[in-house]
Amino acid sequence: MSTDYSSFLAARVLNDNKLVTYRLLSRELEIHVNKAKEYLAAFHETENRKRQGSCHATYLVTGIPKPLVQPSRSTTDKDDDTYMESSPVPRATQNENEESVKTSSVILATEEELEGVKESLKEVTSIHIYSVEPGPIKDLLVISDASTELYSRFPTLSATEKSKIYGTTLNKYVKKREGAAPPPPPPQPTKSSTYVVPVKKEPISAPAAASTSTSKDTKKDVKKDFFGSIKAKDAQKQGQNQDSTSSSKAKVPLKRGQSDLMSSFSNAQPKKPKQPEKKKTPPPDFMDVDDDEPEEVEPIDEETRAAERAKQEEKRREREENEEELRRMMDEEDDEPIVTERAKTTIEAVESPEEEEEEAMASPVEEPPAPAPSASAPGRRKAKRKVTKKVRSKDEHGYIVTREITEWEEYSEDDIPAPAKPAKPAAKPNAFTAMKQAPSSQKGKKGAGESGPKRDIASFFQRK
Amino acid sequence: MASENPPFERHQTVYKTDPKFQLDTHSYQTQYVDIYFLRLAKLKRIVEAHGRERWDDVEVNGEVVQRVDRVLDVRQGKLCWVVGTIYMDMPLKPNVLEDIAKDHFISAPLSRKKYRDVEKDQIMIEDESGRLRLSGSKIKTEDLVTGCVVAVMGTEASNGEFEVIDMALPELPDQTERPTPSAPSKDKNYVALLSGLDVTGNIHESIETHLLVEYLLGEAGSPEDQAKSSSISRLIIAGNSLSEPHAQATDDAAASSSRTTKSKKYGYDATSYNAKPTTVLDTLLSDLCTSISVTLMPGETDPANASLPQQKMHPTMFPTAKYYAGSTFIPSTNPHACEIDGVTFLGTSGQTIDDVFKYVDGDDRLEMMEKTLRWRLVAPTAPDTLWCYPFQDDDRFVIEKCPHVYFVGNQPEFGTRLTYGLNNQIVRCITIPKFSETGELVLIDLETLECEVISFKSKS
Repeated sequence: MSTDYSSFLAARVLNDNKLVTYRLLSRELEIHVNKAKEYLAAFHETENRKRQGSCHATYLVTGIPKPLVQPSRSTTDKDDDTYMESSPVPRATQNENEESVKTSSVILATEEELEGVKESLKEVTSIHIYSVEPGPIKDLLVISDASTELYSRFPTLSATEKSKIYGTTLNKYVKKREGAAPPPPPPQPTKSSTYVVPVKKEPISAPAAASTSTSKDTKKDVKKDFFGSIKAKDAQKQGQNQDSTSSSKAKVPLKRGQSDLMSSFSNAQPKKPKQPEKKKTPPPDFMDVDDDEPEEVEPIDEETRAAERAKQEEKRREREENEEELRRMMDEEDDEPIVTERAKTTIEAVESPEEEEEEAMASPVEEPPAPAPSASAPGRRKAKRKVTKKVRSKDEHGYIVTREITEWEEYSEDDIPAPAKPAKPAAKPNAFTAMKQAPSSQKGKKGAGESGPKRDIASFFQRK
Repeated sequence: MASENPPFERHQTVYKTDPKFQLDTHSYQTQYVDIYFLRLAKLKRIVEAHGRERWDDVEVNGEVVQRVDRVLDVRQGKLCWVVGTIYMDMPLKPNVLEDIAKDHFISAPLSRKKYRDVEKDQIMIEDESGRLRLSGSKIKTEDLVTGCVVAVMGTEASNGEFEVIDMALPELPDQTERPTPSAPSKDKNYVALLSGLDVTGNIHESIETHLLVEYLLGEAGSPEDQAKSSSISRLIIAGNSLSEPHAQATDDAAASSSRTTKSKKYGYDATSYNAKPTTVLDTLLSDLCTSISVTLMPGETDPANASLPQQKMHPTMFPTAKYYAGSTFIPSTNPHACEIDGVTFLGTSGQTIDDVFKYVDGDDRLEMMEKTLRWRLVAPTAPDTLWCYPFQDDDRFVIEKCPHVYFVGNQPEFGTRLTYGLNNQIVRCITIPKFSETGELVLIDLETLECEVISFKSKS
């Protein structure tokens, strides 16, 4: 054991120039926190004996502070004498009100400050080593980084395990509800000036609970589905005799996490109700509106999934046909060009950021079909569209008058975050949907006119 | 790994939440006037009883004091007493109509520290029938706020003002007996109170917060400290666990460099949402919940409804801590009332007292707390200057049972005092400081109701 800890600490502190707190050590070696404190102290001593100043420590001091603050407190209490002359309430013994409040301090101090801290205390209850680091630290905040790291790296154990291994105060009555834990937060790049950030490359260790692995599984599934649907669409696309310029481009944003709220909307929308595994795409915490029933993520094996996928594919095609039929019927009445359901979605998604923008500053009422943009150059396009703007002005009486003005406005795709641009999370939903609907995008552009910015977020949910 | 000493065991207490401040409906359709009716109806009887006790058969200059039923029945020159609701007409109070009247205001109205202006303020008493302006030195020195129900004794002067000679308040409600410990045990039994964690989600989360968590978990300190920590049976967080949302400068800079100025967003921008603070709070809470029960009250800066009573923060916001809901994680309302081992607690996250503070001279928060107890109102200034829910059937802010511990979070400094009622009620009043500013945690001994303070500091 002893060699264990010293070699570990040596590697970490002396070689990697990292800071180690007692909590980190206890988690790392799975030992009691008090033991970890001892080890740290021993390590600090031996290292410094070998070479003075080779390692540096911070201490946690607990104790009772000298009554510096106390008098001020009791004086504030004292001068309330005036406050209730009117009161019929018998003023109880003032002395009791002035009882001094027991105060104790928990102070974190570096090696150098330790003496000063000890002096400031009337009575020192305990001193223990808090962390060991390669050199004097300028800012104790790096310690809080290390504490934060603790949470991201080590799985949360159950209460009993925690108290058994680390010595955390045991609470027998803690009941953790069943249910999958949410996926671990993505590792955050921590920046630190004074110490090298300990980043562990190896995956979360085995006891990382089945939950983590399941959640990972789901993620994998999602990706697979994802590609699956692309392929399916590719096939379909060929059937429809459309060019596929955008599909390769569209694959770029794939690597990005789809945890964005917007993306889960645009995600869920084109999906059909009978696709259980796809439904899991939105992050569980988002869908889990009623927390009382934590969702169960049950792993589905590959075969069933493949079969299901095929089935879904078929179903979807069928449904699409039906939809198209239906649409044709509807459109006849409206005398509008035939646009498939899917095409509409594409445009909508592509244009959504702009729409939002417009809705905020003006309110476009109805956009008549704009001149169809040329399809060959998807990056740059000039087009016109009719926009109704609200103009607010003050008339001679001082009233505010709102007028609606219709005007033609030029726009180009430059204004629209290009689908392929893997930049902001805002662009994600577009890119994502665009990719999914790549084949039909062309047709879609044509329908841009009546695809209506009128459609609001509610319509996403209505259509299934 | 066996350690020499067995782990400490968390002291257990029985906890009962009073669902008083839980709202079943969320209809804001109705007017607020009902609150005042309900409040007066509830408290009139009580104040009248005190008034009778005080002024029955009292003679002032040979004239017997008469009770008058309604404010409008007060006759000029006749010595009488009447019960009504106080209304403070203060020019400095924010006024919606005034804001609208100012067609163009250059800047938003400043939030004032105090509304009080002794020269210009008018104090009135009102009931269903009408309003009466109050005057006299008695009323000027007594700190009053809009919404409290009082009885005033005096005469109406020739200018129509009611000259107040004496006044009566509802006073503290009845209190249930505190269970006396069967045998004076050596083991202490604490409840910890905390407020204003102000978790920002910055890279450098405050080290004090981490020390606090470690202490409460019983990991920091010597075995002695750990033993003490294990005697803290539960933690109540009285609001402002998350800091006020503010735009992240660094992110904005990054955004502007990557995306040029062309697409400008109006309204809510989903990309500016920062989940970091809640994630950090969630990890801290889930760590705490493995060992100690945590009651989480929403506060002014927390993501909950802004109007009182603030409802519990939705557990979905705490994706890991929510699994402890039902055992150690207890999201609750603000104000919050509960019973811990027979000791009743009542507390708010601070908005109530912060608002009362604006009405009165002086800044003794404990005195204001005592006043609210004597008025029997948790939030007397709601709905006048404090946002609240338009109650239709019952004014829930009326204190009907006197608590043993009355705490208010997010106050400038720690303070505590015992308040005594007419019928031997004893209330421990506590102002909890903001942890982010003072690093102080307040412990209450459930047996003696004595307080202790533990301050967490980092030198340098």
